[in-house]
Amino acid sequence: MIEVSALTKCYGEFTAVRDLSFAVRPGEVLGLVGPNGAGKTTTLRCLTGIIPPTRGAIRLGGIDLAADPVAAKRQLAFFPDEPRLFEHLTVWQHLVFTARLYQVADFEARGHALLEQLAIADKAAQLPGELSRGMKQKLTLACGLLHAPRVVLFDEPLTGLDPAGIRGMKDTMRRLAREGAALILSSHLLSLLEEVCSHVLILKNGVKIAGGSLDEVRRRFAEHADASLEDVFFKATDDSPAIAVAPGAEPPVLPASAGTAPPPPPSAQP
Amino acid sequence: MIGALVYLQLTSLRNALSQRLRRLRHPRYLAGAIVGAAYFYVFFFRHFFSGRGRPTLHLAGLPALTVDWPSLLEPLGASVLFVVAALAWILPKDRAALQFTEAEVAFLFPAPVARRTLVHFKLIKSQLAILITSLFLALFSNRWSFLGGNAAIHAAGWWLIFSLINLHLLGASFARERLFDFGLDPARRRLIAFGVLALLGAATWLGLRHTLAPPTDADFAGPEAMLRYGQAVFAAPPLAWVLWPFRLAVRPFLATDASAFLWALGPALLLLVGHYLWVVRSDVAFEEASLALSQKRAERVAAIRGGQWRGPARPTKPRREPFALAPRGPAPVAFLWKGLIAAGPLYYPRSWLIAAGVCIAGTLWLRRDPRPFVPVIGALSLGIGAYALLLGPMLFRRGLNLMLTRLDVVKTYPLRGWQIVLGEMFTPIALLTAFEWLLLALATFGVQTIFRKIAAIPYLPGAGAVGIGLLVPPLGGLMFAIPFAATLYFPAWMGAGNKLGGGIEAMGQRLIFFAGYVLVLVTALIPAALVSIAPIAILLKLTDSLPLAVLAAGATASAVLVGEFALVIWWLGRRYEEFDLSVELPR
Repeated sequence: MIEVSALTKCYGEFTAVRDLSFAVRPGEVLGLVGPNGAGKTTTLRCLTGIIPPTRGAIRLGGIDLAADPVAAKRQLAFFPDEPRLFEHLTVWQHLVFTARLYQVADFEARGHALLEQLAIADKAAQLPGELSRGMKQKLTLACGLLHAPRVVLFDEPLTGLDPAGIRGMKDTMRRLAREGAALILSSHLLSLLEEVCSHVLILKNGVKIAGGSLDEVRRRFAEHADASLEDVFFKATDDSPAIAVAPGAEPPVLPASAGTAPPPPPSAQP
Repeated sequence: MIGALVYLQLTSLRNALSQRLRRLRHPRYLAGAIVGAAYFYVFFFRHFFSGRGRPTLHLAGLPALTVDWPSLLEPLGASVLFVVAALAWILPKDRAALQFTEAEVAFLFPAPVARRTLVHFKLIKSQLAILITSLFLALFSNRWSFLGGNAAIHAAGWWLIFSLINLHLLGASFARERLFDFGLDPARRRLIAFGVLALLGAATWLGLRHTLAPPTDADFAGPEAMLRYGQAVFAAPPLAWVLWPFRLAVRPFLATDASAFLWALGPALLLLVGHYLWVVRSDVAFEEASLALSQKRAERVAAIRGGQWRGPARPTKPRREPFALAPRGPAPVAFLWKGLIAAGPLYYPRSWLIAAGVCIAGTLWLRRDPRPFVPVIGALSLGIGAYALLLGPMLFRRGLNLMLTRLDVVKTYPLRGWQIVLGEMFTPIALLTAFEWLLLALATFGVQTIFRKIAAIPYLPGAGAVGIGLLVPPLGGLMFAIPFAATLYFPAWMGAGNKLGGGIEAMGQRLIFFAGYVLVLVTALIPAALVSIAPIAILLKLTDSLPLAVLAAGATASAVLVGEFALVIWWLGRRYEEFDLSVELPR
């Protein structure tokens, strides 16, 4: 469903993502993780067609994004960390506008169902300025899901959500995966990824450090099967010597450099 | 403590200046600064350096009058100050608040700084803006030949006036807060203020009845007679007494020489010191309201810098849709639909039809008894229409800045570049076209009274109007394409508009763009004009009908312009698709 091969993105001399290849099949949820400046946002932006890759190919639903961006984007829904809404359009008018962009003929039935599902049906006539952050996020979801996307990308989806909103968002992701969509989820919240993702891709300095199912990655980097994704992440990215500590055991003594992040690369996150 | 605050102010100023100078290394700022400086030199400074003395900018009709200008301008200026002072007691309903930045609030409010020191800091800070404004206005006022004095006197005069206004507004806000604490809410305060004003008005009217004869026809015989009667009104008590302190404030500005200035300076300075003491001795809690104000201001500044400032308030009520948007059909229409909703009810087709109907009916009614203002309406409509064709695209820049901030969302839409470009331009073109057509209708009726020969040929005025009207949409589109092209090819230039913060560079950049608009307008019209010669010649020969020829010429020229516009849209669409956000707009 999502096929990325040898994706490279350079900003002048600086390479933000280098030779990245991976695939996400229908029903899979891929967690994209990595420290700041690892290239996660750049990767997501290339996948959505917001920025062109320097090299490499991206296929969404079997369609080459560079060759036929319009057809490829019809498969796609992207949810940025901040809901970006039109302040003069009501909730329902956002759906009308989106329907025209994606040519969704039966949008009315789908739109009503989505609003019901997301529990914002009673807000249909309201403007974004009257909505809470969580409601705005739900509206963004409704707009994104209106055309039944097969490829769904989330960038820090839980930012600013309350507990109910977080639960709703996780349920939505699981439901989309069950319905056969391919999801990519970029987040620093490793616990979220552990809960929702079937696969994980760890990036560091624009390079793929590890990729595969959660179990595969865990087996590769952790010393025991109970290791958390956090342990795996630190082990893989080598930012911390902290490795899986068995319950009740003493944590290892940290060297002087522990916790000190390496110097950040030039800004790679446009 | 005040030393630290002065340090903060001076250091901030120095750093801001050095930052502005450093950025002149970038061509976009340097070009803007050069053009802006040239403009200032030509229009203001040339006269200082040429040694030819004071420039003469005469207002129409004024030099011929033998009126004692200072004695008329002084009470006029005093009246303006009186109104400003009165409004300071009537209009505001907010709590007393000094405007601080969020950083100032964060550093100064928790610091061991006395409230009075904060007031002093605010006064020092406001002095910088007052000084710059005074110097700038002195450049203008020095060109008014009916004023005496010189640039230095004007600068000092302006400074006194603005300093007094600043202190009075501050003192009044503190006093209002005190009155509020004593239980006098804004409604009752306004009632009292209106009562006082009504008493003053009644006393003035009674006073005038006793001291001055009612105006006769002779007093309206001409501008000079009217001005003399005005002078007599201002000189009559009690109006003269009410305005007396305000006259003291404007007198230094109107001084004709150094000696008169020095005589006027003493009383004005006394007023200033009195106001200062009033302000610094008012011990009013302004912190809470200032905090709220600073947050509001910070949000506004962030919105402006992000290109998202859409006015003082967010929409509170949903707006009616201009038409039903079907889920299938050309995608750019969705942008038009969205844009018209954002434009608001004033731009609904029905509103425009009503406006056009009223204007045309009004003009027709006026034409029954031709008066001088019918041709004036026509000429004005033409002038405003031509100006709007240039000004509209310049105002569109703000919308493009907004588009840049949303580009990462828009780029995910499954649309071709040309569809998005056309969609983004649809609304401004539609609004400009409606506005231009309305003006064209007015101009058609007005111009007929000027150009009688045109009006005498049946159908010619109407054919001319339709012909020109056909040019408007594609021509407007081409004009809007200029800022769009600039945004896509020079995003840093366009984005820079939000960060310039005004100044000579920003003004220079606007002048450069203005020159660009004029150039494109002329370049676009030349092929259209050349191509439209043929149908005029052919139709005149075949039918001998000038209206038909004019109509055909308009249609042909419009078709050429549509072709040019289509090419431009295609070209911009290609550029849009290639536009790499991460390279062009690095954050």
